[in-house]
Amino acid sequence: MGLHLEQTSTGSRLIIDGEMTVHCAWQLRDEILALLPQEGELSVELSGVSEIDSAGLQLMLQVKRSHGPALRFINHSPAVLQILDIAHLAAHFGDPMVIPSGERTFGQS
Amino acid sequence: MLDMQAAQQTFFEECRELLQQMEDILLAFESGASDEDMVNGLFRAAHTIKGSAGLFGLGEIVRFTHVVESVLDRLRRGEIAIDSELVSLLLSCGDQIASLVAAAAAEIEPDEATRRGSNELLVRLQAYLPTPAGGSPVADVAPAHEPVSASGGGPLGADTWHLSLRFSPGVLKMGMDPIAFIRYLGTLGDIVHLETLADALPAFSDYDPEACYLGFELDLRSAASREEIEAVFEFVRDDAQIRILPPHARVEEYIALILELPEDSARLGEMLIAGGALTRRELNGMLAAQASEAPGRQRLGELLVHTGMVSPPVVEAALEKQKQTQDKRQIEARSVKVPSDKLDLLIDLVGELVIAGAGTQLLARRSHRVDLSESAAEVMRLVEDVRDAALRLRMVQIGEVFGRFPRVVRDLSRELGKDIELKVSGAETELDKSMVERLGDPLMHLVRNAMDHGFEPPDVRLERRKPARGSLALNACHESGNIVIEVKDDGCGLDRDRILAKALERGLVQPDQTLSDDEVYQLIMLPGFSTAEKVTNLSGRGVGMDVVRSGIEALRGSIEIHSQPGEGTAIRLCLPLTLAIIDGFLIDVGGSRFVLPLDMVVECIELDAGAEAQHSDYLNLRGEVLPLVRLRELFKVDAHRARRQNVMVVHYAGRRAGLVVDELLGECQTVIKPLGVLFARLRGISGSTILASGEVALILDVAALIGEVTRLGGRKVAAARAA
Repeated sequence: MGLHLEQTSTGSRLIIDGEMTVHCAWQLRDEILALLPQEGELSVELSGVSEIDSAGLQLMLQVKRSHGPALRFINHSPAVLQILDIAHLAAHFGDPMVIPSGERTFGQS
Repeated sequence: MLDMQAAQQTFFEECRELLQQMEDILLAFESGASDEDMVNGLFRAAHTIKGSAGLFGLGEIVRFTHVVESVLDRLRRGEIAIDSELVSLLLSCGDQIASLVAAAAAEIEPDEATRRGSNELLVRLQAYLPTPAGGSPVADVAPAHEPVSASGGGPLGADTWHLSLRFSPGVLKMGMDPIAFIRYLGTLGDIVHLETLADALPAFSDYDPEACYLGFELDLRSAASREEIEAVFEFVRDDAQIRILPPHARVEEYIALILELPEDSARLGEMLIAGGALTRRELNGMLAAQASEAPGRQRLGELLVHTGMVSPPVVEAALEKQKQTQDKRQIEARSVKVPSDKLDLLIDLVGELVIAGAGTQLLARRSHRVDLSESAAEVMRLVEDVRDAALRLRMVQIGEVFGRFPRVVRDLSRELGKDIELKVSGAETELDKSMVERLGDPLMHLVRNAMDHGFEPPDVRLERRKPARGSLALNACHESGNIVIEVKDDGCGLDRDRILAKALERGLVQPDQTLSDDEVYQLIMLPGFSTAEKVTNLSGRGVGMDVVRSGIEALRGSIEIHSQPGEGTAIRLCLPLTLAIIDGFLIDVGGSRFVLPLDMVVECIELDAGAEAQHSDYLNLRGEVLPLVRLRELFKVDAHRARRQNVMVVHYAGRRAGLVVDELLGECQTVIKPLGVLFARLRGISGSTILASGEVALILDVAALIGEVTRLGGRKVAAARAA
């Protein structure tokens, strides 16, 4: 897993790569806490997330809660889309997501 | 259908794979490789084993693996370094987990010796942990079989269940993922509504990212029974809050549920309404009624007993017992253990069926009725499918045998003080189960032999400009209907002169005999033959290779030895793939029928009259010398010679020969019938078969024929050279 922060024209962008699982939850939490800017627009890029479990989902919830509406998750990877679908949390985060056709595996709204 | 027992079987398989994986990584460490992924891989494997074992309530495995995992965790964080001592210890731990898993799979308690083994290893592992852990390190993981409190009766119909799930904070650390449970539930039915509750999530700075704070309220439309749904949570429910409400549950039960859960009642009520379990009116009515009847607590307690959410212990015990027997019965139905003689009988019968089917097909064709022929052909096709399926029942991957060698090579190289690396390829090659079982010993002898005698000590190797580390290769592949297994080393090679000298000394060959290299090498396979200067506890007693030879011959296989002095030795075992049925090619020599295994046939050519007139023993096949075997002469068939002769070009183990025959009759399926004891020593014939017409045909032993002709050829060349 890897984490880095980029400055863009509209604000900051946090890029998470690799797995967001219980195996690296502490590391992710610490690094996110250290990197997370206090204010301003923040987008969290999830396209590189290869694997995510409940611990990762909790991290997403945490980040969202601590940063509020100025935070958006973008470019959800298939693994992220799937877990949001299962946990039925897409509406909670309210981020636009691209759902590939036919990839919907689970649940209905 | 979810069945915990079936999943458990998968777990045992998976455990074996994971342990193998751990062993591979550990062995790689020892050979000097080292990177972060490997450490992570180790940790992950241990973690998964522990997690799954927890899921199935296998406390003993959890207890032991937990400590292994803790050590690996420290390794992963770089707090301790890996050295060969730790590798050895971890290898032993792997073995220990394997024996615990084996005990669990056999549904027996680990015996005293195993327990003691665990404890000794745990003590040694403690040395790698920061401080001796206070109390049991896994006190929080207790195997329990306490069923969830049941509410009311069983399933009331294919409708919607309501599930309230509050997992314990430790669930993630135990290697289980709540989301995975939900995903699993999805296989039982449709999740019509789901709400994730993150209310318990504390503030960012003081939350434990490895703890689970999530809860779920979901409605599941499923025809599954309560047992099936409960079984999903079987091993988390003792410290999680799992409430399952059956379809058409009474409103009181929902209310009880609402009151019991930690979240705000009104909010939960909204959720139930959203899920369609309650109507708003019902909810309001019930909440009001509840509030008016003080004191609520007591009332709730009564309600619980009343609706059966708290079942008397006796009923629970009875239910649990009933469930266990049911599970047992299901697992028995799932995989069937069949004694192999029954399987052999089946294959025999299928063999007979193939013959009888071929007979029918022949008759049908003779009757000149198209519909009958078609029908017979269809039946024959099915019979062939049945044959293939029956044979496949017995096929297993040879990896099963190869799998034990990395460890053997590691342990032996330590013992011998040699640095030898094992390379395995073709482990996925399939062969008959009965052969796999009988290959283990011969291969073990070959590997031990190669390691003991085959490799020079490292300093000698360097002198000979070879890498200090020896390489031993185990390969398996299919080759023309045979399986070829090769044990190849890059050591010193066989010492032809010494073998010959030893053989002369023991009177196995005569001084004036001229032997080809291959013949000399074959001498090492003779009983009691050893050139070793010293007898080690591994080999050198002259027993090993003899065992190999008899083992392989019993499987109708052959052994080839290739060796280059100073460069290494390769021992190739050629074994038939199937034991009972072959695709054959039928030929005729002066009215006698013979069958050749089809996959040994390369091509058929006509023997041209010119070559025939010379009566040469060789044929020029596109510039290549092809030795000929004249079956008519070999088997002394007196009948009238056919006008034209054909040559079947056959190959075996890389060598070719041409068989001169009268007539080619085409392909046929053949069931091998062994020859009687009387004919056991007959060369060139491997068995007999009954043709569709009822005639008997002999099956040619192509390997022996080719061996014969190349041996004779070799003699002649040698004789010519000597003259």
